[in-house]
Amino acid sequence: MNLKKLVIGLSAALMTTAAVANPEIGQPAPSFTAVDTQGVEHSLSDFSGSTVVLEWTNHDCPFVVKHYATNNMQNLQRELTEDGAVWLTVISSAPGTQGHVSPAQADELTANRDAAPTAVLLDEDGTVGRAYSARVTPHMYVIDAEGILQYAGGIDSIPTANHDDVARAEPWFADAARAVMAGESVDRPVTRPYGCTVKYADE
Amino acid sequence: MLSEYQEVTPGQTFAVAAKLMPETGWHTYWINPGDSGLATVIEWTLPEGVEVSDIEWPVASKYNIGPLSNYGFEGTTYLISNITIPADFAEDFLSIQARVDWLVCEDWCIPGTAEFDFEIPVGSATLAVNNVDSFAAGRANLPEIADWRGQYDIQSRQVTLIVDHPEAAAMGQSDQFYAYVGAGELVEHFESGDVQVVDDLLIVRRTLNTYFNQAPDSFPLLLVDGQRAVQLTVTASDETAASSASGSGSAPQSLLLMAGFAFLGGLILNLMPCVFPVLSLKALHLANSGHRQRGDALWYTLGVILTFVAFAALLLALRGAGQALGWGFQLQNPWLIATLALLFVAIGLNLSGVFQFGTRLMQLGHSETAAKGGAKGSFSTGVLAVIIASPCTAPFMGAALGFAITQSTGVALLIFASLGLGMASPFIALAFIPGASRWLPKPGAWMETFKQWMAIPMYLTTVWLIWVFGRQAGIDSAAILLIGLVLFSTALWWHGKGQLQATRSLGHRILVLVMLALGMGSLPAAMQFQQGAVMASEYGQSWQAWSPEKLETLKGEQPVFVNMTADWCITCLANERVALETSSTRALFAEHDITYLKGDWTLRDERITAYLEQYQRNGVPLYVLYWPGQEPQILPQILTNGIVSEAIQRASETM
Repeated sequence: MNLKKLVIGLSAALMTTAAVANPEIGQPAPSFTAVDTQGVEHSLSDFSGSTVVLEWTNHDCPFVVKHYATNNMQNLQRELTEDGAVWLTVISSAPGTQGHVSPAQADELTANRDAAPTAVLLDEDGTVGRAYSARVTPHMYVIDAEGILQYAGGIDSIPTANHDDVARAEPWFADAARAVMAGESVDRPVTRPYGCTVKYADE
Repeated sequence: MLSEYQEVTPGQTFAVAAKLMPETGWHTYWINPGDSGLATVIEWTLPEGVEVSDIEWPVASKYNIGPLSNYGFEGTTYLISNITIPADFAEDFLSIQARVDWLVCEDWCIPGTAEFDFEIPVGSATLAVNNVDSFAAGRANLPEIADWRGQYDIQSRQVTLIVDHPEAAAMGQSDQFYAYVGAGELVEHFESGDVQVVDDLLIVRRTLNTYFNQAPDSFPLLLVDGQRAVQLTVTASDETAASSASGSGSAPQSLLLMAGFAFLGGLILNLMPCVFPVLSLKALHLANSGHRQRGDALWYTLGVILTFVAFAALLLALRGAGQALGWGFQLQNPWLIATLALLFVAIGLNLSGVFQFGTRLMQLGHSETAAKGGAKGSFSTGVLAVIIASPCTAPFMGAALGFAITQSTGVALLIFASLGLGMASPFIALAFIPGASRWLPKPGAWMETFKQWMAIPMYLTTVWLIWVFGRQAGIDSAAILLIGLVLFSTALWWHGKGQLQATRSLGHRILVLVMLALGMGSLPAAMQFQQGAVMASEYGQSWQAWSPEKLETLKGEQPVFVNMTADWCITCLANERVALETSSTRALFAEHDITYLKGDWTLRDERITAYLEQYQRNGVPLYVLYWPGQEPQILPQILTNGIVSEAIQRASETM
């Protein structure tokens, strides 16, 4: 009986922590501080007043490749940053796992792929990723100027690694980011994130 | 891509399989890939008329990667689909094109694609001998398919799944048990959730997925316990599904159907032996009144309908008074069911001719009926027709009454109005259709026989009521109710025998009264038994029906626990089984002398709606603990034994 109670208590506790860890739409986005490839520290609070986009990435993941090889990701980065958004690319791969890069390699990737994020954050201990419950690459988030989370989920509607599907898909993330920039409400604030598992360090 | 047959025949269904052979440590994905990954997809191009089933998914395994989980298959995997060739397929070859897209992952993921284009000769069905082993291996990995009833709902970011089957419950006892949910973004995949088994119910509670965005109507659920793997279909339990299934509620079709039956019932009333003569007289009168007859018929109809509606209004007023006393007039109330069973037996015996209702009243009315003319005369004739005919109509009135008492006010009024319209309809027909009087059947002995036949549906209704009662109160209580019905019937029979004699002895009357009293007395006895049965059973919890008045009276004097529930609420059911109807909670309730009140919102009781609003809720479940001298405590929507006991402890210590 006591054991049963303990188990129920524990599972209830686990559920609660899980619920706390998950970011919620319409609530303040989890705050974080992380260092970028230039060694500059960034906090979410630094960007209050601007729309912030978070993009989880792993350059070897076929789903990430799909959106960089088709220039979809770079185009979105340009469009949104030119309109005043802050675009933070986050790499949460632990050292020794797929997608983990040194600051120099990360900059090289940005240059080679002609990417245009505001900054690339290195999160090898996974703190930022876990705070946002980022699960896959690419996993996209939009935070409004007041620091409220407005979108979390996939980049678009077709969960494949097929490059041809980029043009066919509904651009859920882009629609959401544009709506937030225009001060409108987001039609689909939560969508299915698809891609490769984020290669987190063990806790 | 493999085919089970090397030659196929029209009308045949045969299996084809995509064979996936990832290297050791790599896996492909199940229908729900989990937190990442991608289910394998096969796109078919087939000749017209040829159909292909969805993939029969093998038993999945769970792979945990850090805080995330995936579902899929390691090693050689066969994804079997079934192709059906139409019987009139005329080609010599069946051409099959398939494009298979998969994702194979270890730590890394590699998407793959393959296109197949092959032809199978059409002739006589011939097994492909080389593939027999592959299909045997593939089928060995398929789960058993079961038709166990599974339902789910979502409340406060918790998904509750209930499977109602003893074998599912047995599987849930295993340490290795896991429930694979075949819907993406419904539950969090990493955790196993809270699994509980209560009797034959398997109850799984899981946290709602962070990326949940749409509740599926149904999805496959794979249960695995280390020995067996069983797949079933789980459906969403929502109100709309529940109310359309039970056929109640206020769906226009069912309302129309009820009104139709009531109309038919009213029409049949005219064939009752004591109504028919009235009808004949009135018909004659109509025929003689010339041009005024239409007006007369309409006034008569109005009189009949208003009288019926007045009956209904009286009934509803009585019901209102009863509700104020805390009587529940829903079919969930065993008292009402038992009373209705007595009523319907009496109606049936009356129709069978075992005894008569107030015969003197009938004789009194005959001469009054047909004489008067004019609007006022016709109207009052209508009123009188209903009252005078009541000895005969009483059985039908009783049936309508028994039904209407469980319905909403509007529905009850509609039923009685339709009954009246049905009864008056022959007069309208006579007045408006020339020559209609020729259709009237001749009165005769057949009418008595017809009346007696009508007893059969009444007895059947009684059987149904006893069944409902038995389900609520148990077989022992049902047996006591049946004994009561026998005593009650005996009393009516004896009373009927007396009616045939000129004088009745005092002893005769006393015997009737004693039998009646014993028959009625069986009701509380049956109820008593039910309480005993509930207390003794393993999970039962004695409760009383909630009403605002009852709560108001009780809450000042003693602790009260209120549970607002509904049949379609899976979370409610899980809570009751897991936390409320448990021996520990029952003991706790007894120790603190807590009265347990249960409100049933299945049919959207408006008083419960108002109560829910009081606590800023617009749905069930709602659990409130009242303790004298304290603010009411609202308990969470997901309950455990611990939550309930803590709430009670908190309240009792503040005392």
